[in-house]
Amino acid sequence: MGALTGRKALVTGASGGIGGAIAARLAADGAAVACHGVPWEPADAIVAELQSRGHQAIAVCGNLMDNAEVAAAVQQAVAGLGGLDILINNAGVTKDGLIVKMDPSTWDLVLGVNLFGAIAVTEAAIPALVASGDGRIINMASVVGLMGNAGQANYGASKAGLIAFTKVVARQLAKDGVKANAIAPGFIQTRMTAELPEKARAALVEQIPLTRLGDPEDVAAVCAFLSGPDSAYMTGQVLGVDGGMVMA
Amino acid sequence: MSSAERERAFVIGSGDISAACAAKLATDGFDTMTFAPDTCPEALVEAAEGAVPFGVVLALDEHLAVPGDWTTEWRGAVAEVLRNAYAQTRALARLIMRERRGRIIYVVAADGLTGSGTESARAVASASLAGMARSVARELAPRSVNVNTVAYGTAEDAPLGRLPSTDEVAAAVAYLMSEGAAAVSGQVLSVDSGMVMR
Repeated sequence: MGALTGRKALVTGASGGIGGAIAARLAADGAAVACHGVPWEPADAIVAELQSRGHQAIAVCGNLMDNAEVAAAVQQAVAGLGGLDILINNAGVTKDGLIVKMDPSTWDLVLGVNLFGAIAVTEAAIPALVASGDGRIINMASVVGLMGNAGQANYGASKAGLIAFTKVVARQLAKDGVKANAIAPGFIQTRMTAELPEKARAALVEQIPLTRLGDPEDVAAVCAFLSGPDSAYMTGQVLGVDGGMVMA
Repeated sequence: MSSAERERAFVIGSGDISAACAAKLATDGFDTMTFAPDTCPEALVEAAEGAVPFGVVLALDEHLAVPGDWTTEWRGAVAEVLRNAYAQTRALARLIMRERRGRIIYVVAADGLTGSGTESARAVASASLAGMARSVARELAPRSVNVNTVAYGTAEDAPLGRLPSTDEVAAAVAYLMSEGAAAVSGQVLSVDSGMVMR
């Protein structure tokens, strides 16, 4: 029996590298997992993979910029799993640019998905998480939300806001047994970083005390911890998974 | 000094704190102009014609409250506040960076750093602005434009046992606008009666 046996989880952005690793880890630990994807990138592949390993997994779909689609996706997850104990707000996008050149649609997209999309998903999931009695919300922030990054004013604003949202919701829902925490990943090995030229990659690694990019599984492991019984007394926290980039 | 010789400061905001900031900066010798929080970027650019401001203060309304936590309306209202701040920053940063000197200061609520059980809109907007400020600080540093955040306290039960006055918040803003703060960028300066200590 895994630490999450009998628990029901929704992972947004499960079609991506980190989201897929999170879904796989929660399923391996015993959770039934609803894997969220977007219409243009559904989570069917990860669901098929989890099912082939004998895990319980379903796919749900919705554009996080669309309120009706968000509500429908969460309802689909709650109905399909028969409840919800764990919400992982992992979905996120980047669209970089210097602030002086950033057009409003770029600002709105990144804030809309990363911050307001996560809030919308949470709003829809709160009744089920409260009903769980031991609900967990885990929001995927970023070192960029803590440190800032040139070219990512929109992303940094979205992730810093997400951290504040985590703390507000942690305070509000503590009485209902819901714990809310955030993870701030550093540079994680994904499709995006795989395409970096070797020189840019080396420059990245130079900023990391542990001298390597993180693996999606590094983030997934902390997600599993924050989803499980060992973190029952933690709420409103931000855990860095960044190889030591931010020490504060 | 005539107003033509004095440095200009723009203060964008509607609350008591932004009024105190404008008054303090005027006392310190700045030619100060105030603007409503929803002032469109074009109007700011027009106001800057002839004399680009040395400093811009963007003060989040301390009374910002949106009923119905997390609802569509809540999200729309907070998104609007952040979008205005981004658009105003973009428009003014374009001008200020060409001067190769200047200051941008965001004024937010300190409970954006610690979370608030009640003031959800103000807390989330505050943290987002402080997060944006850190990235903008990195982008504008090569142009010698310093970007910082002042976080005002919202809790009377802080160690000092009282709320900070608006003048005390304005004094921190004035410091960050001063010559002495030329080496300070990317910081959050809390004026919160000791609420957050770290």
